[in-house]
Amino acid sequence: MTHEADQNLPPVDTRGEFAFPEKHAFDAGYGLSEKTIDYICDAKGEPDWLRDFRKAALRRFLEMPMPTHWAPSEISGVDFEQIRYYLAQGTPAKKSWDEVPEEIKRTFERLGVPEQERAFLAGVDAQYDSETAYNNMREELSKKGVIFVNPTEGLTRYEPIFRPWFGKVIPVGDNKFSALNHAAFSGGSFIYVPKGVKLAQPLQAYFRINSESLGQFERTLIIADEGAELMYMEGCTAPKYDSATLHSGVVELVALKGAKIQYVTVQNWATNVYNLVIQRGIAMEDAQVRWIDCNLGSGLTMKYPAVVLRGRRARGEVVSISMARDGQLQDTGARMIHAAPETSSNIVAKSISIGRGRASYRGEVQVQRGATNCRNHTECDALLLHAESRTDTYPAISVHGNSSGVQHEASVSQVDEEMLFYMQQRGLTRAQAMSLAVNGFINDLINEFPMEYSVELRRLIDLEMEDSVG
Amino acid sequence: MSLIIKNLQARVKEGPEILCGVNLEIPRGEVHAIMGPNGSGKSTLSKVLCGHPDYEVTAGSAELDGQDLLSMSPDERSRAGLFLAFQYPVEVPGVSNANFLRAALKARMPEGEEPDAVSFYKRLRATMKQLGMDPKMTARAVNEGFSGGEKKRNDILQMLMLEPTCAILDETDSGLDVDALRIVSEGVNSLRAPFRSFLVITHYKRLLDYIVPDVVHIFHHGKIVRTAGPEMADYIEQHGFDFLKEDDA
Amino acid sequence: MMNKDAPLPELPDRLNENWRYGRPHQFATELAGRMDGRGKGKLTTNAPQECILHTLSPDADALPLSIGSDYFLRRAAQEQSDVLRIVLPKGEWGTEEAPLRIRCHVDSFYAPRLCVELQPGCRAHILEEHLHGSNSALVCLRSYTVHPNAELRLELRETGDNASCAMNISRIQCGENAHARQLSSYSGLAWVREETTGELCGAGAELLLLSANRPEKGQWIDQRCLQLHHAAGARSRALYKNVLRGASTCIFGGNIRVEPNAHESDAYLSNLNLMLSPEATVHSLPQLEIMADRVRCSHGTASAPIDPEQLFYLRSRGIGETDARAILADAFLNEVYLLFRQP
Repeated sequence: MTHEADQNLPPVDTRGEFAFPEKHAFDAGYGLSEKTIDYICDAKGEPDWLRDFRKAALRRFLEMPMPTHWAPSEISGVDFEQIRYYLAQGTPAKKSWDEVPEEIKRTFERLGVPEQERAFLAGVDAQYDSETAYNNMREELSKKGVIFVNPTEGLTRYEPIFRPWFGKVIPVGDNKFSALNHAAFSGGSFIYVPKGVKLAQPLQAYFRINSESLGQFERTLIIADEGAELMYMEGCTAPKYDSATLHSGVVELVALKGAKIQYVTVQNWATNVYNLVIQRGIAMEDAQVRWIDCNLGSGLTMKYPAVVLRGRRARGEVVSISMARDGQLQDTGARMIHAAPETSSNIVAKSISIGRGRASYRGEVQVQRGATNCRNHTECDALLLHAESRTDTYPAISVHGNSSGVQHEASVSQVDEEMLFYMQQRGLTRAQAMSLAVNGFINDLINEFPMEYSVELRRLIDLEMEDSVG
Repeated sequence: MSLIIKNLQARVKEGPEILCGVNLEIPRGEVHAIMGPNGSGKSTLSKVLCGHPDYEVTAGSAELDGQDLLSMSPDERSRAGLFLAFQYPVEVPGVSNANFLRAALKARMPEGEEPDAVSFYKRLRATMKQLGMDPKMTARAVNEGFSGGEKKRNDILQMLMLEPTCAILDETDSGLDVDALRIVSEGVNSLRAPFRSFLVITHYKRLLDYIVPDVVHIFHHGKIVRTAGPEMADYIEQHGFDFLKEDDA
Repeated sequence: MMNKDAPLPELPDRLNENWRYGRPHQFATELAGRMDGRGKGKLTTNAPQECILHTLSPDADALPLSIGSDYFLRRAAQEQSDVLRIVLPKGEWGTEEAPLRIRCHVDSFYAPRLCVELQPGCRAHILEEHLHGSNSALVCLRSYTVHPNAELRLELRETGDNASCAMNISRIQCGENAHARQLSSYSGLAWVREETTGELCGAGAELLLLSANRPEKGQWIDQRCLQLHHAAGARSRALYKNVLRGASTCIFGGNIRVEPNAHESDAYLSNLNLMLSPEATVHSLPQLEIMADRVRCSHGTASAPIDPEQLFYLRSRGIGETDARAILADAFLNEVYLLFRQP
C-alpha cells in the first residue's frame, strides 16, 4: 500500500464507532411482552415448545428482582423498556461468501478481519445484528460430524442433541438476566463436536450490534463429546450511539468426559453498551474448560466466567484482562465451583484502570463437601494509571475439609516512575513508555490469546495509551 | 551388618517404577557412595528408605540392624537410627531450630522425659560452632529464609545432634562453597565410627575428596550397575557417565 | 449521645455483604434470649483512679463503627450496661510482662461500652480479658483512640464455655505517627463475631491487626475487619490465622479501603487457615477498594491442610505424627504472636 493511498483511508478506529444504514425487515419494537415473544417466534418459525419455554422464561424475568448480592449498583441504569428486542434482516443465512451482502463485508473489512483468514477459518458464523448473516461451514467440519448452527436451527433440526443441555448449565431462574436471555434469545452459536474429534482450527464468530437501543441476547451452547477438543473465538466491536444498548448473552459450555473446550472472548463494545454476560461451563471427569477473556469496551461490563467442576480430575481455568477508562466500570472476575474430588482450577486476572475508570474483580471459589483433594490458585493484579483511577477486589473463598489447598493473592500497583523515566531518557515518548509498561504488565496473559487476537490487543493498548497519556 | 537392601523396587504412587531392584549392603563403620547421572533414581532411593509418602514400595526389603524399615513410619525409622540429610531441606516457618531439635531429641527419650535444657544448649552451641554457624540461628525458624548452603549446614547440625547409626547424605555438596564443603565434611567425618554407616549420594567427586568412601556404587536406571573402590570416583570425574551408554546399547 | 428511643435499624440479612456466609438471625435470637432488661457483668481495670471516668466525653461518644451491625450496636446500647472510659496521659503504662489490665466479667447478658484514649506521647501495654460465665452473652462496644505519637499494644483474650457467645464491635483510631497493635484470640465460645475498624488518620500512622484462634467442635468464629486509610502515608497490616478442628467454621471478611487522596498508603491483609479436620469450613472474603494513587496494597489468603513435606521432614527426624502435627499447628499460629511481640 502506498503512502498516498494510506492517507485517503479513514483513521483506524478499533473501538467500533461505525454507523451503517439500517434496513430491518423484522422489528419487534421496544419493550418486552408476550407479544414480543410471539413476534420473535413467528419470525424465526420456531416450534410451540420453544414458544412456551420463552414465555415461561419471560414470566420469571418479570417477577425476578435485579441482582443485589453480587453486582455493582451501576446495574440499576438498565432500562428494559428502552430496548429493542428483535431485529433480523429477513434474509436466510448465507452459505457462500459471494452471497454475503456488501455492507456486511465492509463491516468485516473495517473490523480488520483479513481476507485470507476468512478463507482459512474452519467455519465462520458471523453475526449481523441478531441473526446469522453468514454461516459457512467447511466441508471437512461436516464430514467430522461437527454441528455449527444458530440456536433456532440447533433446537429444531438437532433437538435431540442440544435440547437436553439447553438451559441446564445456566438455568432460566439463575438470575434476572438469564431469564431475560431465555425469553428473548436470538442469534449465537450452537456447536456439537462428536466423540474424539479434535479441531485444530479455532471456530469463530463475530458479533456486532449496529442498531440503536438494540438488545442483543445471543445464546451459545457448545457441547464437546467425550474426548473432543475445540477452541471457540468470539470478538465484538460496536457502533457508538447515544442511548444505552443492552447486551446480555448466555454462553453454556459442556465438556463431557476427557473433553477440552477453550472459549476466547475479546469484547470492545462502545461505552454506551451494558455488557452483562453469563458464561458458565461444566467439566465432567478429566475434562477441561478454559475461559480466556478480554474486556476493553462497554460502559458497564459484568462478566464472571465460571467452571463447574463436576467430574473427578476436571480442570478449570480463567485468564482475564480488563481495561477501564473514563466512564467505564469493568466488573469482571471468575467463579470456580469444585463439586468433585481431585479437581483443580486456576484464575489469573489483571486489570488496568485509566483516568476515572474503575476495574473490579469479583470472584468465587468453592470447595464443596465431598470434593476432596482439590486445588485452586487465584491471582489478581491491578494497575492504576492515574490518581483518580479506582480498583476493587471482591473475592469469596469457601473451603470445606482438610484435604484441599486454596490460595488467593491480589495486589495493586502503579507504573514505576523510574522505569518511565529510564525509557523516556532513551527517547521514547511518555505514551510509548507507558504503553510498553502496560503491555509488560499483561504480557504473559496476552500470550494466552490466539495470535491474531494478541496482535490486535497490543495495538488496542498502544492506541489507548496515546489517547489517555500522549 | 548395618543397612541391608534387597531387590528394592518402588515407584511414585500410581506412576512408573523408579527403583528397579536395588541391592546394597553397608556394613557398620563403612562409607558407601552412590554416583549416577541425573534422573537415575539416586534421590528416590534415599526418600524411599526414609518412607516418603509420595512413593510406594512394590517389592524387596530394607533392614537396618535387623529392623524392617519398610514396615515402619518415617519417624520410627528415624528413631531406629536412620538419618537423611535432604537434597532440599524443608522450611518449617514458626518452629525455631532449637525447639525443633529438642522435640526430636525428646522423641528419642522415654515418655515424659525431656532433654536437660542447660546441657542441650551447651551441646547445641558447641556443635554449631564446629560447623561455623551463627549462634543466633538457634532462634530462627527451621530453614526459613536460609540460603542453600545454610540449609545444608543446618541438616548436618541435626545429624550431629541426633547421632544416627546410619546417615544418608543426599547431594549435600550442592549449593556449598569450598569452605562450607570442608566444614560440613569435617562434621560428617567427626561422626565416623566403627558402629556407624554412611551412604553418600552425589553427582560429583568433589565431596568424596573430603568424605573418602570405602565403596563406590554407580546408579543407573533405578539400580546399582557397578560397584568398585574409591578409584571409581576418579574415573567418573575424568570420563563422566558415558560408559553407561554401552550398557544401554 | 445516641438516641436510645430511635427505631432499631433493620436486622442484617444474608444479602448484606458484611454478613455474607454469616448467621445474623441466629445471633440476634440467641442474644435476645439472654436479655432480661438489666445487663449483668462487671468491667474493671487496674488503671490508676485518676485515669478512670464512668461517663462518656462529648468528643469520644460517637458509637464505634460497625461493619454491618448497626442493629446489634443499637440493641446493645438499649441495654444500659456499664461505661468505662480510661484516659492515659503521656508516659509508660504497663509493660509486656505486667500489662495494664481491663477485665470484663460476663454473667448473663452484658453490653458495656469501653473507651480508651491514649494521649500524645503515651505508651501503653494493655491486656483486655473477657471472661464468660456459663451461658452468657457479651456485646462489647470498644473504642481505642491513639493520639499522635502514642503507642498501643493491646491483647484481647476472650474465654468462655460452649454455651456462651460474644460480639466485639471495635474501632481503633490512629493519629499522626501513632502506632497501634491488637491481637485477639477467642477460645471455648459457641460463637464469636468480631468487627474491627482500624482508621489511619495521619501520616506515619501504623496499625497492626492480629488474630489467632483454634476453633474446634461446632464453634463459629466470624471476623470482619476494615483497614480504613483516611490520610496519606500511613501503613496497616492485618493477619488473621486459624487452626480449625472438628466441625468448626471460620469466616473472615477483610477490606482495605484507601480513600481518595490517601496516597502512598501501604496496606496488607492476610487470612490463613490450617485445616485439620474433614468437617471444618472456611469462608474468606479479602477485599481491596483503592481510590488513590501511588499505593502499595495487597492481600492474600490460603486455606490448606498441613504441608506433607513439612510433616515428613519432622517425622524424618524422629518426631511422631501426632507430635509433629501439634508442632506444626503451633508454629502456624506462632507467626502471629511473634508479630505482636516484635519491637
